[in-house]
Amino acid sequence: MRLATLLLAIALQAQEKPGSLEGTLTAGGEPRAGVRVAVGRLETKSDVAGSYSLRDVPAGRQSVIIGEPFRSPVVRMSRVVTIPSGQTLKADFVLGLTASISGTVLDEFDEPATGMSVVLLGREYGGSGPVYFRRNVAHTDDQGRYRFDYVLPEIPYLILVMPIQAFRGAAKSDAPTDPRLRRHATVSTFYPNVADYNGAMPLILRPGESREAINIRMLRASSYCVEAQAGGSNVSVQIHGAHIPYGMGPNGGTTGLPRTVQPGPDGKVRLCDLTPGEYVLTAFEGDINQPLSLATIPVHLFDRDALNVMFQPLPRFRVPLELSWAGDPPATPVDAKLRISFSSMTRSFGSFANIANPITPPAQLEISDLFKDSYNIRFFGMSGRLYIKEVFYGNDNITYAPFRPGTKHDGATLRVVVGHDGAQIKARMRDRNGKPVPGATFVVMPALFASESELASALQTGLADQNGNYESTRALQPGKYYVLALTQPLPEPLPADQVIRLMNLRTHAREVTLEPGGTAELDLEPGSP
Amino acid sequence: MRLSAIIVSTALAAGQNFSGLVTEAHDPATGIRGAVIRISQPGAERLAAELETGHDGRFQTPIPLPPGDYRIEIRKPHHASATIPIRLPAAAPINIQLTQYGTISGRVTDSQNRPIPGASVILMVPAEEDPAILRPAQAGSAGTVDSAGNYRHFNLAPGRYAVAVTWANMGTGGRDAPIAGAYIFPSNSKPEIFTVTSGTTITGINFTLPAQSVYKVSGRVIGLPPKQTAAVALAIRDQPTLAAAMMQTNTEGEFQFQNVAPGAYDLRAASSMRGYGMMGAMLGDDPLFGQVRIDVGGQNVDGAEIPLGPPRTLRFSLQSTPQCPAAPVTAFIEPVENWAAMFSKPIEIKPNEESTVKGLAPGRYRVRFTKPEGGCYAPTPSVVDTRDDATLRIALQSPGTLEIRIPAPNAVTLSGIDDTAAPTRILPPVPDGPYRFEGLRPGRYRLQSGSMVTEVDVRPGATTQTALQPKESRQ
Repeated sequence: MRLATLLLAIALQAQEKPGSLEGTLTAGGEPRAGVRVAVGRLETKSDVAGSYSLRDVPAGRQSVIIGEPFRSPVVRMSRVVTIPSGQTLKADFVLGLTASISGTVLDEFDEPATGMSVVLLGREYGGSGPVYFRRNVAHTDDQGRYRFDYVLPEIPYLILVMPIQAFRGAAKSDAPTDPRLRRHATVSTFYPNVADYNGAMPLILRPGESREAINIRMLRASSYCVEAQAGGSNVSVQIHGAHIPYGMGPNGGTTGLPRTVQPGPDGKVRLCDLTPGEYVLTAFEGDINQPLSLATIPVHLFDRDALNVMFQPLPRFRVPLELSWAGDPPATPVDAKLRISFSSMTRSFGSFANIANPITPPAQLEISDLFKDSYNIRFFGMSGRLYIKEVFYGNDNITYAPFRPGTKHDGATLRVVVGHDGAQIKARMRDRNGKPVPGATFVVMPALFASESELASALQTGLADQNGNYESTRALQPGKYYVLALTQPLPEPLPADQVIRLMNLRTHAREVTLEPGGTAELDLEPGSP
Repeated sequence: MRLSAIIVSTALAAGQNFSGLVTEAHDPATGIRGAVIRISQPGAERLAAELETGHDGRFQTPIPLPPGDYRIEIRKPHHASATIPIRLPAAAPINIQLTQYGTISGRVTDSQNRPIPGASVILMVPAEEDPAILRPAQAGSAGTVDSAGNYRHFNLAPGRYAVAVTWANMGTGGRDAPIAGAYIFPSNSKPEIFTVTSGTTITGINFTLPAQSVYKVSGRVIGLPPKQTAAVALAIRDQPTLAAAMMQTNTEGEFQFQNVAPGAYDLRAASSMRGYGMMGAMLGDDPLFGQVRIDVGGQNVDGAEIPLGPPRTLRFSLQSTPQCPAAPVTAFIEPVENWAAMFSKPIEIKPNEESTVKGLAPGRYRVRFTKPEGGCYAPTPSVVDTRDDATLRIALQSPGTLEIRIPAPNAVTLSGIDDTAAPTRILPPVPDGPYRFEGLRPGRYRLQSGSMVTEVDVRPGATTQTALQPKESRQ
């Protein structure tokens, strides 16, 4: 059986001869030299005339990556092409230009604020809601100036300024005991001069734009301390703002490493220079991303220090996991090898609990290494017609919500229901004259969703090749969908505000009902249902 | 209970709303806004007060501080911090002058005035042992040219600096650089040395890349261990610490530098590495090194061969003196010549036992030491040559005392010239002198009181006496 498959694969390869890909890169109407063009492991750079050429490209649908991911004057983009067997495909690409943001940070005397971190925050959907990600960091110079080069255009950014902080500090701050004898602390401040991210103004740059004079005046407030004990000297303590400024966003994501201290022999910590607001203290043993024990506690600072905060980290625990088929099992056995990862939404890097070995439904096992924390569940290996239909924890449907272990009764099970009758979409985009629209972007969104974040999790986007052909990349749950074709590419990664825009474009989309196990074929024109 | 409350309030009543003024050292009429004043008592876990200067540079404690001995530390970004001992109640408000750090800025463009982003602009300082050799200044000494072509170095402690631009940190053998070269302002043969004092702002240090023919330099590293690659530096012969370009060979030892400007170079190779990063190779335990000279001009250089040879060893011995019993010190070594490799591993040197550093390239190294425990100091940095099979003998130096006389009571400021990282020390005015700074690291210092300035060498284990005189009377 296996030998037969192998022979078939060789036979298919023998029919398909490698082809070539060549063309010209331009940006702003000018040829662009020195830009990387890659298909799989093949890569080249454009010459002074902007021309590029790749030989021995495998025939068929291929992803082309143009540009570098970082520090590049052009925006990196991906496109899909179908390489004809043994032939040369000509494909010219128009590149977008990155932008720059610069300005001055001033203190309360309108003097240059030196030694500030200026953070460019992107807002995207992740897990169960919008998440703020740190996209770039600059530091102010002696004149309070900062500058971001190579900023991706057409993405809304928030700008947050905070003092450069050592993320390791002394266990006990030496701040004076009497708050009256302390100087005011600097408040993490958003553009335009607000402390609350709800009041922050997003900046959206045009391609190639140099946005100047984005000046920020730092806010100041009374300075308070938190004195806490979280166990012994082996328990580290971390503090971050409950909202954006010090550490994580409200739904995970990170704006930088929170301040972490290791207590002395008495196990006590004293954290100072905190302005009034809500904070989260985290206590843990070992490494924050793979701790032996963990606990968090909220702290509210209004007009005085928080003294004698006591809490204790709790050890790891297990949650039973049940994987089942939706309805009857597949008539013919399906080669399902699912892997599941649980990533912490409150700790910045890594912080995984994993199901290491691939599993096939139906299965019962246990997830170890979990804490009382919020997790984002991700599934890998969903091949063929497989899709995740529903996820339950206890009796709650958490398909589009964070997984919070330990919030249900003891022994509550995490149940994952896997569908095996997923549907697919093949779509073509033609203009009014019937000519294919190359490089079109297709968006597939469910007709029914409970929230914007649920839509963000469920929608699928993809690119058409040079003939305007698109194929969905993973199986879709059967039901009613809207399929939208756009001539302009979507920014990558998709900013949160684009989700609302796509939702509002539903009137321009084609409605389609996907039958169990079916494949829908559609022809679309730009700008019409 | 009531009695103790009364005692406390009496103590507070006897205290004083301590106040002062912080100004720029180069412009004593200009107050420094937003300077942080940290007031502590010896041995206390917490500060007595942490204040800030207002818009006029003045500060005052909001409630009185109890009488006693205090230490005041003044911090302000882009200024040298300062410490000052004081006894409260003080006779008068205290005046403090802070040294402002310097800046050097400019542009990097091509011959058609188009910005060239991505280059590293490196600050260099004349080496103590040979001022003709420039070595990279330490912390924060590389700045990147932004997309508008500008660079700016700030936080420069008073001292002497040169400025160089290079693309070697890209590590691509010049492939992604407009030119594989290293340029010192205004020329490699005659570098300009800038003197930075308090508040010095140097602008317009612009680099314009010459439009000139460029060449390829290719060849092979000979004697590579199996499956190993080498790091190769194309170093400027006149300025051995600067690389025009760096790259990693393939496992055949082959390298090719592109866009190389005409000039005299040394090709240096280091192999047996654990990794390769922006600073060059991270070397393994038994490294090999090689070096050849090449001249580029008129045509490409093909077939250059760099034979690898064995590494050298450097020995340290730490000796006791009657005044200074030997205490462990940490040494940091940095190569004078650029080997496209990182050597900056700290070495722990223990008393009365020989310490060795193996795996060094054959060449010159600058060695500096941390301060050992106790009151004594390690010697100032020195240069050793590993080709001489050298042993560096280290004798700790006992601290010096400086005694200063000034014509009329005024604050006296002391800042290090050899050791620019040391905080500025300030003594408040006293009715009748002399002013004494004790426990000083031997070396050169700058003394300032009002407009009077002098430099003085502090000798180890002795009291150095000096007097500050107004300028007129000295002439």
